[in-house]
Amino acid sequence: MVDIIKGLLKVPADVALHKHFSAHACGKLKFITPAKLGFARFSKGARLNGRGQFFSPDLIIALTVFIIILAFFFVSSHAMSVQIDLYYIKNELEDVSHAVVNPLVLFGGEPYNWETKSFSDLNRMGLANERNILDDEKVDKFVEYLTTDYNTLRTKMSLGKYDFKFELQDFNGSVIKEGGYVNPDFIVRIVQKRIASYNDRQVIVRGIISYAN
Amino acid sequence: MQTKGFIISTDAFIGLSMLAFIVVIAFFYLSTVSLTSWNTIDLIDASRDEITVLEKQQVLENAIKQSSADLILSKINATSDAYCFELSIFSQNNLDVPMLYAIKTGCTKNYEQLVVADRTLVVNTDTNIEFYIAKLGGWYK
Repeated sequence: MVDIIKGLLKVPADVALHKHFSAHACGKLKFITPAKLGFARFSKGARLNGRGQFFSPDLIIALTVFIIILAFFFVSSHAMSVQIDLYYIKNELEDVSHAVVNPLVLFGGEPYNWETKSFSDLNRMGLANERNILDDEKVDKFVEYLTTDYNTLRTKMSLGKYDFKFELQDFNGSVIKEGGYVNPDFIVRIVQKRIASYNDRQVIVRGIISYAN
Repeated sequence: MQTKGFIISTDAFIGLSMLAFIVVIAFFYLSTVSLTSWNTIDLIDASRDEITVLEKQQVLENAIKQSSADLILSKINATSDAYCFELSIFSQNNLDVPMLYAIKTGCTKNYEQLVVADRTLVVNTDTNIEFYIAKLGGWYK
């Protein structure tokens, strides 16, 4: 009987099936089909070892396909989450850039004559004499502070973790004034452009805000 | 159901194919995401900035006094390439037809989105005071 089962299962001769189907059980067994053992059908090359572990080429292929699909979804979900994070950072950066550059071209700062006072007296940065008309002295002082007190100024401008660079350009692209810093390892960078008047010239105020991990 | 092979049902195959298709579509849409709402805000800012600069530099007033749009044209031509602007100045006596009109060189009125900023001007001539309305339309090139 054991030989019949071995033959049906195509197991090697050294497999001791009698461990599983003892002699007294054999007496009761008339015929055991593979279906009764839980397997509908065995493919060619299937093996059942002495510890009851089952291997077959189909199983290995199926597992490989499953692992590849699983890996694909892990990688794709990670890439998607990176893209979504980047989108949120960009959106936040746009928000910050508008909040930072708007007051520079629209307001004179707080106190209004901050350029004549010490840096510690500065509460809010603004470069305009009146709306869109930039003050020469304020621009010079701002550029100076961006060099000498960059980190403190960044805090006063509520820039948080972002770096800031200020550029004043004419419409040919020539830089008239510049100060600040763009992180060379940035992952996101936003350039905020505003039109203003500076020394009776029409100029572009560029605020470059960058973020690096 | 096939007797052999790792694809054991057509349903599973169709399901996996659809899943892969959805993932690819999701990637495609994620890659095309752009913050267009900020573009609109930038355009509004640029239009308001430009008309404010024209007003504060007395370009509008001088153009009215000279009855010439050349000064306006030279200023709007000097703006960033990304933007297109057109400026119309209406007299208080005729708000239908502009007395002065200028459109940035190289721009055509072919836009998806138009932003308009306006200013009311009071021009003091030798004889009296006249009111004008300046309308600046801005769009992306």
